[in-house]
Amino acid sequence: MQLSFLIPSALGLLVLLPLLAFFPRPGGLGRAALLRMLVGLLLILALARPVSLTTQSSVHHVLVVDRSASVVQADAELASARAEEWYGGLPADALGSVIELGAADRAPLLPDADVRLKRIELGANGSLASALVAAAAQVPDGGLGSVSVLSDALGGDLQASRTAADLVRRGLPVHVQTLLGDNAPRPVGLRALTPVRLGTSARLRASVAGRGANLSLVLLEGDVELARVDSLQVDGRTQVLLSFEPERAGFLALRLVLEGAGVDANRSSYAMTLPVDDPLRALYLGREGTGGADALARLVGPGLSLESAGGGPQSLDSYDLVVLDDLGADGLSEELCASIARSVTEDGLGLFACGARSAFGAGGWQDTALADVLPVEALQKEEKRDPSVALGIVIDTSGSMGGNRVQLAKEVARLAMRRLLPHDKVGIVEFFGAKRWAAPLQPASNNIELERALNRLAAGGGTIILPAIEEAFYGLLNVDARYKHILVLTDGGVESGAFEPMLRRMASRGITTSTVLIGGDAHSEFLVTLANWGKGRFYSVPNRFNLPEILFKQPTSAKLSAWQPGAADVIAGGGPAWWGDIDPRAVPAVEGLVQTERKAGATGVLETIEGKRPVLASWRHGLGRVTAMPTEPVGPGSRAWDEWPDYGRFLARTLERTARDLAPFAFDLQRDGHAMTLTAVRLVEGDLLPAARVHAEGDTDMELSFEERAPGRFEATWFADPSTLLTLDAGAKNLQHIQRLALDPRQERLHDPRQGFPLADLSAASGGQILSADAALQAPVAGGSGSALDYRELRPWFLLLALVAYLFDIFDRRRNRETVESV
Amino acid sequence: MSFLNLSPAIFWLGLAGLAAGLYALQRLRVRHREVSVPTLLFWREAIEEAPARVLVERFRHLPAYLLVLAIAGALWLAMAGPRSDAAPTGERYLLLVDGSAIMADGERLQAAIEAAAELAAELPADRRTIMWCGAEPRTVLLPGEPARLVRERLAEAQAEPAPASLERAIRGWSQQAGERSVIVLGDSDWQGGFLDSVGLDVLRWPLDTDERTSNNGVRILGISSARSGDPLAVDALVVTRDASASVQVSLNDTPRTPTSEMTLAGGLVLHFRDLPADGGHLQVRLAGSDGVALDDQASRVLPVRRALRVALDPSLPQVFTAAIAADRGLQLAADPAAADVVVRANASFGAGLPALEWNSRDAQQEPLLITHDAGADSTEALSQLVPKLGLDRIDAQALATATGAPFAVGARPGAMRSIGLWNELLDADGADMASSRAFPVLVSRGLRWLGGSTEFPAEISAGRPLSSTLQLLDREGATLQAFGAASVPPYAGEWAAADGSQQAVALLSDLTPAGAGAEALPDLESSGPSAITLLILAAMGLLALEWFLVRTGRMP
Repeated sequence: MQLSFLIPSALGLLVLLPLLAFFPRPGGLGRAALLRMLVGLLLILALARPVSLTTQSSVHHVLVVDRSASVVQADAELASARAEEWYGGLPADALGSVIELGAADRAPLLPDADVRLKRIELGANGSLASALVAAAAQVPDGGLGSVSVLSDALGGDLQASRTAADLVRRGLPVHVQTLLGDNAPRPVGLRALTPVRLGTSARLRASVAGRGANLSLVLLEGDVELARVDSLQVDGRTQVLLSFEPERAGFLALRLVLEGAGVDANRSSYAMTLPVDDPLRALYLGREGTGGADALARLVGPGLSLESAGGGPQSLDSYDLVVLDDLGADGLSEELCASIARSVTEDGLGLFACGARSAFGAGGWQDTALADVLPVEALQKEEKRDPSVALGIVIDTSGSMGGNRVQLAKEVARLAMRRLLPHDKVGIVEFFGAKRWAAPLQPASNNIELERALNRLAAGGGTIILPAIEEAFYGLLNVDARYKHILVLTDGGVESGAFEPMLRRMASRGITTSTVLIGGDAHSEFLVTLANWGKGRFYSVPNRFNLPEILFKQPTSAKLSAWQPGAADVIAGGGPAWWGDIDPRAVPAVEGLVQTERKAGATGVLETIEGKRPVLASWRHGLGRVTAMPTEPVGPGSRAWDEWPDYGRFLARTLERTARDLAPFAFDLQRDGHAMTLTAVRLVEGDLLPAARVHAEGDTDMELSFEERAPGRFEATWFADPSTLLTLDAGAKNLQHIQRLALDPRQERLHDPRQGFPLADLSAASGGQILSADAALQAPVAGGSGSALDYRELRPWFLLLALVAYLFDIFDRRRNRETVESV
Repeated sequence: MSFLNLSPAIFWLGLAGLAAGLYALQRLRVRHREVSVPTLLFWREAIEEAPARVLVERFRHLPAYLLVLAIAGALWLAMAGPRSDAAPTGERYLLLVDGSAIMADGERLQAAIEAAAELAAELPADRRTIMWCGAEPRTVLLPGEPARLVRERLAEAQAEPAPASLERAIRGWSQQAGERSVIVLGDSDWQGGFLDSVGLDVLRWPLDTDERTSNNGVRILGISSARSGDPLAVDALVVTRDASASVQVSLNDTPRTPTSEMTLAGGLVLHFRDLPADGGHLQVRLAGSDGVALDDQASRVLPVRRALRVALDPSLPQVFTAAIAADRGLQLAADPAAADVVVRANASFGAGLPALEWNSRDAQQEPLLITHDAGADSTEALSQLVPKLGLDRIDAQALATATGAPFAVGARPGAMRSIGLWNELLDADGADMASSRAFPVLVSRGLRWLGGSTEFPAEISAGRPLSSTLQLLDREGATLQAFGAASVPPYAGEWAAADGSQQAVALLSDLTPAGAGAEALPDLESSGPSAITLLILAAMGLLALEWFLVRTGRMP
């Protein structure tokens, strides 16, 4: 123990004490003067406020009484009774504090007139957390004490947890009596099971506490009923799944209303703000002017925002999905194809590829970067075709062709005609100074007529080629054939004339010219030049033993149309994730299909029964999902599906499932009293930064500032009134992908009992008592380290001694005076 | 009115007793006898044999009586300790002494304590409270306690390696009713918007000490899973307050070079990629010294992420071996005794270990049955595990077609985690699940979940909630309590964890001092002398008067 004076300056008065011997006249240090000096000494010491400093702390007992709105009247009365017991059991030398939580409309608690009792009332925003904070503050650091809590344990937060942990560390026992509430049925919770986006079903889990039967639970937005569950039985706590289709994006103010016998009107409605994200953003790449985008948008409803990007998109980052609708590879640049494929693989972009005659194999996709990402193999069958040919044979029958040469020319002509098919056409023009159709253009099958015409040819006359070629040209001009060719058979007499423009003009019109040098020299510069101008070939036939293989047409392979019209019954696969509550057995037959094959590992969501051709196939490729529909979503191929009532829903569901399901950030919003924390964890590769904007009721919007606390983990903190609704738009900087978040104010009357603060755990950890409903809360046991330096006032003792000394002085004075006078 | 030291009844009885006693004394008279003595030698004996014992019946000298009664009554009242029953009216004061790390700068903490003591002596004693705001807000001085105790109670106080709890103290105080003022004695700043949110005027009291010295410090030390996807590595982020100082980063005392380095908002930002997650000690030190040494270094024990040892039932097909070999986070164990988890078709293989097991249709009703931790809600667990285990990637329709039964997934609580599947799903001629793309995902993720690979906190920092289930033990070895929320290590230093590891809790506070204190200090209320002091002074004055009257013969 250490003696100390709290007002040591008062000891300065001690110097005045000796003056008593001389005041008001010198009398010496007689008995009376000494007694009076003793009284003065004691009073001066008392004035200096002597205390003994000790670690024997005084004891501080604290009672927290929860009288908030969540506490029903019966529990409030019980709490009052328990508080009286606590007060009655308060040790005489202990100090007490009563912390009342939400007592505004309740009757006063405990008597007013007790100096040992300190009262603290928490305001309207008070919570169990603030009550615990206040309770902890009533016991000085290192002091002895206890905390007793009468509460329904609703309304804890991080602050309460930290304070509770500190109470445990300080060794202060927390005695608890939980107020159990009544059994009136009431809604106590409503939360979305998954994030809700426009166009998808909102699935909510409602919690109802209490006890009741034949109740109805209604989910409302304004006065509009969104979902309803009837004949509900509640015994303790029940959870109910509710589902509805939001009709707009944004924040929906929902109310969960419980109806039925025994429902307290003041606790029948639970409010919740449901954030509904914007619809998927899809980039539509299809043939312009067909109205495909509008038709598709109408079909799938509001869950998909289709945007056509004329001239190609600036960036794919802003889209969740790319829709390729009946667009050939030539409609996409190589860069865009590669960009789509890369975004699917690396960024999780969704790709929905569909179409008929211009898509898949027929669209040339097999040669693009998209081929690898598609879940189907784009088949492209080819057939070998002999194209139709119209051949004009121009034979020189001039005099120079006499002898064997004209015969040789006839042989070459026969040889050429033998290469023709019956449906090809052929005509013979001879020139001998003049021109003449020896055989007009006719089917090559008329070989008798043609042979006769050849046989009739005989040499004689001059060589004038150009008019004969012109004649053949005009003859071929109006013939419908794939290849048109003129074969000039001559001995190569050089001739001047406007050959070049004529032959080039013919070539530009698709009529080629080849030349054959009959007999004579093995080479004719003139005929070679003609063949070059005519885009044909030059042949030399010196004799009948060197007849050439004249090639005026080549067999070609043509791509067959992969589009197969005709009804084909389909079978569903893929599982409930694709179908939900849609009946997969009700899918009508498809009426046209591009032939494809499902790749290994892809899911066949719809296939033809015959041939197992994919109608809708999907797979995950890298981070993204790709779905292929080798028919038209809107068009002849799916015409029968117009009568399928669930077609729109199914297609919307398919697109939603295909779209990018990887948000750039996972956000977590936490409230701790006024303090708000938004944590963003980056889910995608790259260096995206989070962004968020806060809207608070009655306040201006605020852009949050994030700080990276760990690689890819960001945090923003700010303050907000906990009694107001808080809504946020969160996403990534420079991306239009927005997630909506909402945090409703606390609803004091409708707390879920299972979400309450673990008072029992606190009591157990702190060494306190958990009191049953009928147990008395008396003489709380104190704890704590007792290490705090405390003080004990000694002034009363000094004052008492001064009083005694004074009384003795009076007594002595009286007695001595009479005695002295008698003497 | 009531009394500190006496009950009202005793006080009033005592006062009545005093009045009566003094009255009696006032009437006290000595009947003296005249005794003749022959000599003065018998004088003394004569006095002793003839004492004055007779009371005079008539009361005289009323003013003298009243004066004496006033003196005695004042002393009695002062001794009883009168106190008003009414709650103290007027403004209440909360003095917050900043005990955080930032106050380790020179003599600033002592200056703050001294200022608090002086203010406590000045302010009305019944309306001021002093709290110490170190790691946790703690009450130092309750209303009514003498200000002298502040110095005594904080004589050994030192700045704590923790961020200040000023905001928490102010927030708690703000929810109490009545007129309040907060005076902060210290340098810690609070976040912008905080004061608006609590609606209190807070005055920062200037400290009578030198200007603060400059301070740099480690502000952020966070780790995340490796961006490279390596399951056995982590990435780290280090941010300092000021880019000017050189930073030394070492892992197990071996210097590490950052993968990237940049300056952002005046601070230095260092990234370290693919650090081995083997429990190494990552230490960050700032070269040189500054005003506050507590934040010049930070350390972090990296998580231990070893490959999960998997024992394979030999009766299972080889496809499992390939799936496990493809995952760097999984390692084949030859013997179940050396394994963390098992994949089995026979219940006796690795019994007692978490298992991915292939059962007959008779053994379990659902094709896929998950046994999760006891105590968790099965519906909740299922909704979390379906995407986590990649079950949403399974072609359920194909499996249902192959097995002739709906592909349902069930969940139940149990003592040991397990994932049970029908063994016919592996039938190469039937469902052939092993050839699906979802199979390696299910195996990989499923085994990790079975192995209970726990997430590690991004930061382990004083005053910040832990973002994982890591459980720290306090100095007494008790688990740091969380009570339904994330647990918060209150101060920096070495902490033991419940898993037996040693963890380093860093002081990652932005020790940026707040602006200077108020230049124009408001006029604070003065406490003035107490009622008891006034009573004592009054009693002393009356005693002096009485003494004068007695000594001058004007009072009997």
